[in-house]
Amino acid sequence: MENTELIERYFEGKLSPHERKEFETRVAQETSFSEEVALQRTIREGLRAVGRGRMLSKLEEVESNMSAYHPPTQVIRFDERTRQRFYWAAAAAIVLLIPVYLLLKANVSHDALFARYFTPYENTATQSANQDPLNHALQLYRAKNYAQALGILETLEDKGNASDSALFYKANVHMQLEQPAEAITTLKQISSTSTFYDEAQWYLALAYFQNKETNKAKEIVTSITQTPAHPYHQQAQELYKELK
Amino acid sequence: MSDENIIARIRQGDESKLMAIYRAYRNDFIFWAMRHFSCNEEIAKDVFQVAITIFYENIMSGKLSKLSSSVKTYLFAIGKNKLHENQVARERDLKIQQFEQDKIKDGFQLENLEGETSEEKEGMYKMLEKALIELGEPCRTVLEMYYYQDLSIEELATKMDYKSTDSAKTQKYKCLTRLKKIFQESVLGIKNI
Repeated sequence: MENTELIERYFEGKLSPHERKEFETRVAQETSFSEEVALQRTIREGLRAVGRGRMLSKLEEVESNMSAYHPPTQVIRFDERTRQRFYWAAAAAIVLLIPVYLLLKANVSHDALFARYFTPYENTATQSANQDPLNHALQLYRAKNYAQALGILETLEDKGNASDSALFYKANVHMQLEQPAEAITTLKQISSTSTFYDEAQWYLALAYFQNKETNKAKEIVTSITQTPAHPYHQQAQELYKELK
Repeated sequence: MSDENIIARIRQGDESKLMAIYRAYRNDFIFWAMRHFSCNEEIAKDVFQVAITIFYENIMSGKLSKLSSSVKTYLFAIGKNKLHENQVARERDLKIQQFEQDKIKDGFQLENLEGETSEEKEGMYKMLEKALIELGEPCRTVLEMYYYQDLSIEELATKMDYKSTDSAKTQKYKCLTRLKKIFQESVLGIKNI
């Protein structure tokens, strides 16, 4: 048996008791053999470390193709006692509100859902001195100066210069300004190959809610719940439960 | 697809499922880690990548074939341990820094407590990476499959289209012997300088 194989079999515990004894005697007596064993051990450990390094760089590559981290929509959680108290209060409130509900029932909408789930898209673009119009618009967006931001984004669109990110932010501005129909038209222009597509779908669902087109909204939410890799999968699931 | 199916697919070598899991839970993990371990986004992201890697290694080694919870819970549990270790290490570093400053004040220099071992190891791995490039294909893949992905000789034979497990075995030993030679030469080369 060649040394390489012998040493491998030793590491893998495949030597017979007799062979192992012989092996250990050689390690103790032959410097060159014990060096070879040490070298092979380093290589075995090293191969694991190199493999791990390659896996981590694959993940980093996936990471670099993802949109920047943004916190998930805030969901308020109660502890158990608060929750019970909350339920009692809610029950009482419902009883009290029944007459009001009967009066208003003609106008139940999903506005509340929209308000709960909509958070303006976090704009994480780094501050840069670059004063192109999109950058300027994003600064205004960040400063919540929506009307002015919209002006710039619309000019871009009119000139046919609107990138997917410009369209995406423009839709967000429309939602902020309670113009869901415009938001819907804008979001629909974002193609399915865009890096903003997943985000656009989620916001499209919210825009439909805002526009009281509940069925269309539900359709999108349902399809997101069926895509575990979707960035808004969890939010969609929570929303879906509420819709039932 | 159920969590168990996903594990089976990853075990069969479908890495895209692993990447999908990364994309699906990355935001939630960062959010949770920043809130509970008061770390920054960068550390949270790195820890999540490590957690995914450990999850992968446990699947490949057969340590994880059945989940008692969801994939998400499992990942967050690994992440929690790693974040905790990270926190302890950070606190220790702070203490060492403090200690070092006190020593400097007293006119001492603190010796490197860790020794050079981890740096030395790092250097060895870099050399091994170079040796693997020199070794080339298919040997590099054969060795990665056997030593990192924990594939059996039978699986290796199927994946690499070898006629029999015996020829896969021979090939593996050939590759390892060649790598040993290249690696040894580069180590000796460095020592002789």
